[in-house]
Amino acid sequence: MREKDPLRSGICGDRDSGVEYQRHRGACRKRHSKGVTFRSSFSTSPCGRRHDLSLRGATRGAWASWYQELRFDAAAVAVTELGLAFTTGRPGHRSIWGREIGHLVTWDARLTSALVCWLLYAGYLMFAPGQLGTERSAPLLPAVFSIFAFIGLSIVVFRSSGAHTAPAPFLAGGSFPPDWTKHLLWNMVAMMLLVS
Amino acid sequence: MGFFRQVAGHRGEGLRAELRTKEAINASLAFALVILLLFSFAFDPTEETTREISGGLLWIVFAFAGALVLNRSFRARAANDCLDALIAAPISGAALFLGKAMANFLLVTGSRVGLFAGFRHLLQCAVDLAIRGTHAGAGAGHLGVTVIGTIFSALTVNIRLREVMLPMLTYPILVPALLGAMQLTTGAGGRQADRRRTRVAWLKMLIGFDVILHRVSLVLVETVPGGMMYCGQDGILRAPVGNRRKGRLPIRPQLPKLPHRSWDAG
Amino acid sequence: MSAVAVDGVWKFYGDFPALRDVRLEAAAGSCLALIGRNGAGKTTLLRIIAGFSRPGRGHVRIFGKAPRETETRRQIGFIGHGISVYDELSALENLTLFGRLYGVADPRRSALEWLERTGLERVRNGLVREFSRGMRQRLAVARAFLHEPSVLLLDDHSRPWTTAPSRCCKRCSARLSRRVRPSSFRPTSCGKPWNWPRTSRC
Repeated sequence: MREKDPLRSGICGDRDSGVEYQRHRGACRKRHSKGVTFRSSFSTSPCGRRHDLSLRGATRGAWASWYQELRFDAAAVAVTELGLAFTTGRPGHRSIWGREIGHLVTWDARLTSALVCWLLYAGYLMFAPGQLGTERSAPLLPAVFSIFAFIGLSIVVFRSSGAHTAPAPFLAGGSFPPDWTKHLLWNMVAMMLLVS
Repeated sequence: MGFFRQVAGHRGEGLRAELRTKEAINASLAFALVILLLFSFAFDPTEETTREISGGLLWIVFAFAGALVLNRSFRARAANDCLDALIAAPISGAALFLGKAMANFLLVTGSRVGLFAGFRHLLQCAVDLAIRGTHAGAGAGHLGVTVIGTIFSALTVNIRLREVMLPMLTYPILVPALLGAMQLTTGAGGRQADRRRTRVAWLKMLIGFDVILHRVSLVLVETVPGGMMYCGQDGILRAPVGNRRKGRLPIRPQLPKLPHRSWDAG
Repeated sequence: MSAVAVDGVWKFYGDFPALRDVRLEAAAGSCLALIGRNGAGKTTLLRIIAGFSRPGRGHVRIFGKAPRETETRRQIGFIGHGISVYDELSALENLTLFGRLYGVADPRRSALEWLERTGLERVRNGLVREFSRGMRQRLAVARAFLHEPSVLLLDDHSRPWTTAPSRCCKRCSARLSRRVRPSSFRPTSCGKPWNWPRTSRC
């Protein structure tokens, strides 16, 4: 791993205490060990891939509903159910590591968008064909909702990165060791097999 | 009848009906004042923290009170099957949506004036209306809330639990608009130049959000009322007619004929 | 060209086929009564003809055009289960609003005319929520006839109309048939269609 210039990376705090600090957005934050970060990301990241695919699946279902392909509605609902499960797991995994990391949640772009995504998935599933009301509400209305959800979520992702985050995101600096890549990929394959 | 005359007609009808009954306005103002009262108990008005989060508190009040107004916008039309009459009439769905959205925007903005005063009185921290962009930010925020709220009010008009579903579906999509509006309303702390740059960025995001979702709503509104609505107006996206599906539905088995029963004759 | 043509219409609610391969034609100026037991699909078919619902298969044509086209909608008069007027507006305001929506030349004058024909001219400025049931039904009749439709769709499935609005409806239909040749389509579960006036050629 490259040695970082302490002045450029903004190292601050008491260097003799044995705890690493780093300057981030004007504040001096405790820097966490890579082990914790990457360990948590091995389960969080595949969950994240699953829920990204679900969002795309839901909007694909929306497009298909527009052209009255009812079988894609069923696929969109199934994909969204899976996405809901994995989106629940994503912040959950982060919370599991919260004790070591130091806080349960940070309102960075990822977790904010994951929370909004979870709410949108839950709303879509409640709104899905046959769940509520009469036949008239299906299947175009959930499709319309999913189109709005896709646009809204995209705007949330772009904009929440500029919002005030408290505490600051803990992923800062460092690099991904190449030998960890294959572990990450195996983990993703396992997640895909689990859901298929 | 011209498109804008239709919009004006629907806006006038919505405003006239609401100003006669004042049901939604009274309910939303009363609810908002109750929330402000609870906030005044929960937060110490003299604390600097309260001033910092004042924008967030104010927009929580606006969001919840606005939901009461928006809930009524199509629900009142669903009573007496008025929505059927509107769907049957040779009017554009986009004109109906725009008219309702404008009426809702005027009602929600009107209640904002009273709520600013209530906020100042109960929480003893005024929204700094002198900051350039506060009015624009509040207006753009209300516009976003109104556009999304109106289209979702139409989406949920025929479903069960609509009072629960409307906020549940609307607020996640409104997150960027509420974020921007809160940032613009608070706008405290930091250097003058940084603050102005941040406020301009948030205002641009808010206006972009409003424009994008407004256009998407106009395109998609034709599919919304009653669950299935065609459009016949020029230039508006047309939903496919059933006979173009060319038999994609599976053929259902013939059900046995039910026996004739004598008590069904009358 | 027939006024109403329904060709091979199916309608599914989930897996349940509410309508199965319905075919019918109604010529211009005719009166068709649809009689069936409860749950037979009469209201469903009427709503498909009026354009409120899409058929799962098949198509509907009104004077050769789809029900949802702008010109077709202008030719349809519909009375459904509800009265389809606004409670918070007065009778005159309601009819004026719908007159404008349907492109009637002088909506206010037409509204006053139809209020007089339906016997509501005395209460034209009263709010609809204060009307009695019979008065609301008369107002629904006035709203349906206001724009002089060519096709009348009257659904009285579960709503027993009082005598006065029924007579009012027949009078309005008779008056209208002197100017246009309306085709009326009336599902009923009572087994006994109305006795329409001879001028409407029923």
